[in-house]
Amino acid sequence: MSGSSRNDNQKSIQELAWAIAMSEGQFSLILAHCNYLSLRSRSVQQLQEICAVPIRELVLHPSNQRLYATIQQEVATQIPSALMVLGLESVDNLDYLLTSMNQVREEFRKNCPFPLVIWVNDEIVRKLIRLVPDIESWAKRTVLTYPPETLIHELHQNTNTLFTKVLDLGISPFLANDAILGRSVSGEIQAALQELKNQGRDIPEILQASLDFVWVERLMIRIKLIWH
Amino acid sequence: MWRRVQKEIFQFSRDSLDKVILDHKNALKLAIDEKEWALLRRVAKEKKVTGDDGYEKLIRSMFVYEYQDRQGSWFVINPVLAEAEEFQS
Repeated sequence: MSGSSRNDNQKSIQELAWAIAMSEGQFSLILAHCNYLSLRSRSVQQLQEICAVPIRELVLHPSNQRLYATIQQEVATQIPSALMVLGLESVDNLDYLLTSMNQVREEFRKNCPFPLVIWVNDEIVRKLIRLVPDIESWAKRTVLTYPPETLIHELHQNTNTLFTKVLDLGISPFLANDAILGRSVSGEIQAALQELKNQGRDIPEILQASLDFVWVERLMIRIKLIWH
Repeated sequence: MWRRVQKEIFQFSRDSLDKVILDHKNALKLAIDEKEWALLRRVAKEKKVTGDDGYEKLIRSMFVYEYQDRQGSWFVINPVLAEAEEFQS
């Protein structure tokens, strides 16, 4: 990691720790925006180490549809100093969960006297802005990300995995990238590309070639699906 | 350690302000599609919106703000978005 970006991330974690500690005893919605699962798990650990108050962790199940009810159940026996929600990206019916969350916005404020940290990625932030802009503007959001060099390295790794798997499978036309890499990795590739673009970074040619292959493969699958 | 963390965060620098604005711009950009960029470019130029459904979404998602004074109301794109490269073209 380059010095300045490493510091940026450290700063974001400190910011989160501070926001959590400052809101102890009252409701506060904090969005921790991170697209990369590996970085997220490292950041969660660091956050637990430096935060002045203990943070309870709640991992959502894909079938979960109601965040408020799940939280109420979690805190029924003991109110935590802070609560951190993970796994939102794996929820099957995320649109429903978010809109129901918006309907009981005031209940959170009244009945959850603790800071609530929810881990989100680009896809969830997009949905928040489009479906429930009130919640997005109501929350504090902190971005945690990799420096550009690490993003490029990760992209290389992911496209290499994709290549190897496609070759092993003998270019099976019926497996989408999502199926080969897993939905989350596919999302991480897109997020990394978007972040590099936002930072005005050029993508190395060889990586661009691999990515073009990935998109062409995607297109082929779409065409085949239409024809069949 | 905790004291140091607090001290560092209270120092509010130009850099952190720029970062907040940039992060917010990048988040909003995630939610805007091509068709909406075209509408936003029109709002930026004409300072008005029509009754079209697309425009309603722009206001609801806070991509566009409505301002009012005694003479009436006008529309301006969210200043955070003004520097987006999609507007430079």
